Amino acid sequence: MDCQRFQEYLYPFLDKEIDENLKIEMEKHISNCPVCSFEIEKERKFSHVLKTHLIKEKAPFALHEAVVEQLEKSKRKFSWRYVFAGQIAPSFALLVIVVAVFFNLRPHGDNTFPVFSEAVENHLEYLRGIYPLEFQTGDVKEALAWFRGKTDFAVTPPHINLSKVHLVGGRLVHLKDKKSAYFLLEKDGYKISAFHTDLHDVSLPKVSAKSGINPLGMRLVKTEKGYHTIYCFHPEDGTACILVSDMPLEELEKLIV
Amino acid sequence: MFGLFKNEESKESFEESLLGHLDSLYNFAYRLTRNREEAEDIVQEASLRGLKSYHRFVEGTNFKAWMFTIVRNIFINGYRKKSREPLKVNYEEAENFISLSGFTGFEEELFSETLQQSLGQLPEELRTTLMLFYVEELPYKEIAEVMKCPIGTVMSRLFMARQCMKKKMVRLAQKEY
Repeated sequence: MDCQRFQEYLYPFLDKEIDENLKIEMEKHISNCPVCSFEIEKERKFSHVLKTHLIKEKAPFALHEAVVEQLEKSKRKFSWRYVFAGQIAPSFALLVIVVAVFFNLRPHGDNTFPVFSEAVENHLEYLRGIYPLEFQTGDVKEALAWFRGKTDFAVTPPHINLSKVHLVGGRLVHLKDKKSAYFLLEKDGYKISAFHTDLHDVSLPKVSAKSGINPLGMRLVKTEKGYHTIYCFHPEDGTACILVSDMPLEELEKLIV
Repeated sequence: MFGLFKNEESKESFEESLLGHLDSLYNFAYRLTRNREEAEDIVQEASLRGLKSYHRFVEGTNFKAWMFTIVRNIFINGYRKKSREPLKVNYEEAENFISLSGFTGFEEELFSETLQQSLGQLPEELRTTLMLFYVEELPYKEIAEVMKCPIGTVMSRLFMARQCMKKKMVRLAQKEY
């Protein structure tokens, strides 16, 4: 490793954000180069000063009290739910199970979360050309303008670095029977489908080995039929962006914004 | 139907997690707004929003980072409009600032007050990134989630924030001490 390359990774090294091999290379360089060794010491001292002197403001007691009271109020406001949950729901649920068993129906538990499968199915159908694109453009602004007024929520650009992928076009689709925006994207020969959809009243599945759903940062990921489905939340408006592709997961992950 | 039982349980678990991170949330909101009253209002609003959408929180992920995202969204949508500070970092200006008068040595004549003052003067995106890294100790990836930007942007913001802090602190220290 030369000094230039060392400088390039100086901060990720300092911040413990590099892989083990690079770390070993950098440590080796420091032990042989007094200039870089001085540089890293100087940065370490600076980081230490920042860490020790940046003051964390404590929440005032009044805020603590206000938040507790607010949460209590919110619980009381929905107290009818307690009644429903405690007395009516169990009987009703039992009735549903009896009816389901009687009619040989399989109840959908948390482990079946059809949005993932539905997104993969849709991805395959669009690739096969079963549903043609309704618009073709490489300009995301044009695409967003096309969706304006066509969905019940404001369509936003897909959670993907649009400077690194090529937007092909899109169309309106139905995901879980809800009108959603569909974008078809391309990168190095791989096709990527992005669905922006409103999932307000859809309960989320549990992350577990059984469901095959895993967390990816603050997102969910599931692999079906060789296709990776990444579920990105928009907690502020209850919508979600679902990405589907057969691109290697690591590469796809790097493109997510 | 059984989900309703789960809802009541999750309200309890939400409250517990929220109160455990209240200082961090308040500190984060205060660094965004630089105003104590507004920070309290934001935290209260975020608590309600968080409770409403808690069923969307993915177990096993970072609750604090999830709440930071909500706090920052409230700030961006409501409070930042009122504030006078520029919405985005002027990277060109920041870069010029960094490349001005070559910074050669770093003297450790730094005091907390000077440092807080310097932090307050940073543009919001740099200030927030710096706080999330040094005070909340979030990794690059989680900062990227909160700031809704790629990891590369987190790295460059952190770099600029550090450079600006070095210069500002040295200037302030020279002026005042």
